Amino acid sequence: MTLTYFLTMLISGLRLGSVYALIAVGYAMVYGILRLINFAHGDIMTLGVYFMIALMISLGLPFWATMIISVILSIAVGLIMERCAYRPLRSAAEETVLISSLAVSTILQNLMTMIWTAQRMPVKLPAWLSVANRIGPFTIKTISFVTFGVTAAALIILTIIIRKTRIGVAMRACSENRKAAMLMGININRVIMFTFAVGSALAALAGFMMSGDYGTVYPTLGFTPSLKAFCAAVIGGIGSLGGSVLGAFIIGIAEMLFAGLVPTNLTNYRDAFVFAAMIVILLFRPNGIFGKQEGGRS
Amino acid sequence: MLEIRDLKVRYGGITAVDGISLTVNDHEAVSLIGANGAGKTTTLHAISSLLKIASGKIFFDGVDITSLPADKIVQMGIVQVPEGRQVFTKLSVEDNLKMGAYLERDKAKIKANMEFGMNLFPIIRERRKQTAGTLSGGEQQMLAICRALMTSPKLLLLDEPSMGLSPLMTQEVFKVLRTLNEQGTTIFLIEQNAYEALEFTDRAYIMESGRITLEGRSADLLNDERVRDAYLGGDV
Amino acid sequence: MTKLTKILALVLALVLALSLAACGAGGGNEPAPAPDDGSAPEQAAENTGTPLAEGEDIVVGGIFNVTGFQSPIDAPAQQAFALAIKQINENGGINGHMLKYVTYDGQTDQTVCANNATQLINTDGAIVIGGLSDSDYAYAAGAVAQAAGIPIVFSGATTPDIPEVNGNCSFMTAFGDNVCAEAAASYAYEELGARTAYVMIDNAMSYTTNLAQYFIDKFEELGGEIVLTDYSTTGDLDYSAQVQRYLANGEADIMFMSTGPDDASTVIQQFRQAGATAPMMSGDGWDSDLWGVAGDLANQDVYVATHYATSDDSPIVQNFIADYTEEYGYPPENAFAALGYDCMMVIAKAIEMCGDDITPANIRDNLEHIQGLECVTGTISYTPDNHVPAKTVVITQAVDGALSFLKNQA
Repeated sequence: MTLTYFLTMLISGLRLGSVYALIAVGYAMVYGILRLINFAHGDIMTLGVYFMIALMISLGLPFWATMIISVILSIAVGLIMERCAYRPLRSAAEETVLISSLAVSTILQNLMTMIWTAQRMPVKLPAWLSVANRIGPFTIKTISFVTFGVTAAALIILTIIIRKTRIGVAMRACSENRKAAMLMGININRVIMFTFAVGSALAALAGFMMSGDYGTVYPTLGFTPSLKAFCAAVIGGIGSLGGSVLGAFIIGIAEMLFAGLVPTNLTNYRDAFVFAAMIVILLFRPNGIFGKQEGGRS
Repeated sequence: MLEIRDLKVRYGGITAVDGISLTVNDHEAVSLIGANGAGKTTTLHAISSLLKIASGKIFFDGVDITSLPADKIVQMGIVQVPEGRQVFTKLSVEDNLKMGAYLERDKAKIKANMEFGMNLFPIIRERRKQTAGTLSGGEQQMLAICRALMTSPKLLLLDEPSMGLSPLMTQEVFKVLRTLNEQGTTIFLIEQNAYEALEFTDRAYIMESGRITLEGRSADLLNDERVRDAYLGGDV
Repeated sequence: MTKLTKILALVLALVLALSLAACGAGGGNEPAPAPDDGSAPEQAAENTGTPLAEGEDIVVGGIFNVTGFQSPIDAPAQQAFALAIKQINENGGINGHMLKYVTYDGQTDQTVCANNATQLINTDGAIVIGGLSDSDYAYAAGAVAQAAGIPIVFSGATTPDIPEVNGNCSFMTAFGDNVCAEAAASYAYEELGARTAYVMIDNAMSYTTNLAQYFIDKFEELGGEIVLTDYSTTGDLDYSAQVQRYLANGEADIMFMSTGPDDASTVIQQFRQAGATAPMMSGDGWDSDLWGVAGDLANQDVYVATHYATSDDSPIVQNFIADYTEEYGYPPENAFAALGYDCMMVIAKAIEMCGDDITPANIRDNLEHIQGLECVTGTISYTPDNHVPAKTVVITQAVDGALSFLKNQA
């Protein structure tokens, strides 16, 4: 094994980590405010991709326009999901809402199968995105750079929103203490809707990056990556945005290094490795690597 | 100012508040006294619209606010200092105060309110850069009151402000509440510490198992046999 | 927090179990040794039944995975199978009997396939069954048919040991994987001049594991060297680990990609985009849409060893293509359509040989005596000792969105 090979796997891991980060942030935000693990999050990601190719095929719009419209449509689906499946259960037990989110996930997957069939559909991005660039000893596709860039930009914008804007302040208040936030006059429904909107938009972006890279989409596309992103959020100390981003990169890189460095006949166990690693981490740090370790007083 | 008519609240099959009625007049300080589990906090949550009520009506300045959401209640000028302080422990003292001013868009007003609170509790000014979680219980209580004052409330609701506080700290908190009341803020207070509450307020209601069993002027209740036996430990 | 931990633990245990199960799925099926002189089917239940009354319909059952990841190959097979039945009925049926076709979706699930067989035999009264393009499902349905003594002809399943494992009621329309992989290895070695080979194996399917093993054995026997063997699993989206490992190891003369039909285009796209330039080759599983994801990249040196090529100008092939196109509005999607058609032709021939005495047992016996039946995918013959037809393999190359005929490779 050469250094070049190792670094190549590391770059692949960063690319994977970027996609996981975009998804994980959505999980973490929703969990932070609602204490809800929204399992339908990954399906929003898949749906965003379907919206994009449907718009491309039926309307023939330019690439950037389809992206914007499909992000908006994904946000709409996220909001409908919150309004219909989660808001009525706001005061129900955590398990109940969790099951509701599994139901939403199944419904969305079945809807996608009904509309677009279970077959893989090709996702055709503009050709310049698939160009392989030789940089020194490495070959890196343009879409990988785009993935890094989009993730970085999205996370920076999100940080600014959370730090500087009123709604961001309200989000922080809600995630720390929902009851106190309500007593400050914060409209909690608006905060929750905003959270779902941002999460859905990021998920759709993650979907574009992933499907654009692999060139394909199918109804269960979002399942495995979103499960790994969820692990990232947990490893990062669920609810902590910075933690979930770090967790996402740790998982992405660990997964690629595992796949690349183990003997070939173990490569297929990369998913199992990710989940097993998460369990091990949680055994030693029950609140995640970056989560507060002293039980908490909530 | 505040009028509650025949309020009922149920949790599942349990009736926590069973048809109570009470009023708080302008500039008054009124307390609701009762043992743990009598339904006092539930009543306060009902006013702040933190829970769904089963029946009854709540009016504020003659306006029916029964079905308004929590944020609208705050906008109307009813602000609660919740039980157990509920400060944002991860944020700084200053950010906690800014959070309290969420509905206030006038920067000068925010600054003035912050000054006002810090003048009431000088210790808060000293601690303003610290994380709220590092404050003592009494300091957190002061912060919670300051935070509630950030929107210049007309009616201040307080849930057990003396809980977990040293007698000295309790004294200080009530001293400030008295100042606030004298300056015109109407106060509705819930307390287990009946003596402090009755000393401080003009009128009081006694609550038992979801019902109001006794009401009257606080000075009279202080001397009432039944109140003395049940809430004042006999000889005070 | 404790509640959350509990939920987490449950969810994770589930996920872990699922991901391990997916990885291990192929482990149980070791590549079967290639039978040299054909398989010797086990003798089993005789279902003599009562011969059909005059004019009574012959119930033909069909089991195809028209949903799930097998659907790209099973759906065309089903359509062609149905087309064949329709044509037979239009020509007056067989020996005065019309065919009644009952078909169920196997849903790419072995249990469902087995249940389908039970339902066809017990409820619908099927006396012969056709279908299935993958061995894993053929084992499941074949065991049920064997127990009931109902002959079953598999349209596209290619593991050569199926009749040996299932018993004497099972027949195959396609050549065995050994024949296919050996032809591929010979072509790579002799025609493409490959001396070193890279092999990637989807080890979640017995088809792909077997195919790869046969290729490796033949390639080494010819004197070639396998420089690297790597693994993937059905449904993988990210092949960057495999690609990078391959490139780091140095390019081989040929890449033999033993994956299923659904993954083919993704594999081509990722290997080619990352800069792997060696010729790529696979078996009949790649006789599917190679261009969907990969686009033009699929036209760069991709070879598929399969059952027939649409560019073959013999009348039987061109008639089939014309009939299928007329019926469905588009040409046959892949070779599995042709196999589905041939599967029914084989069944029809055996029924015809029964004369007036149409019983499951007679159909089975007559299947064993079909000799030199001209079919779309070649000439089919069976013997009591061999239920796998010895056919030539067609080597094709992906050119402009279709597989173009290169050579009949023995």
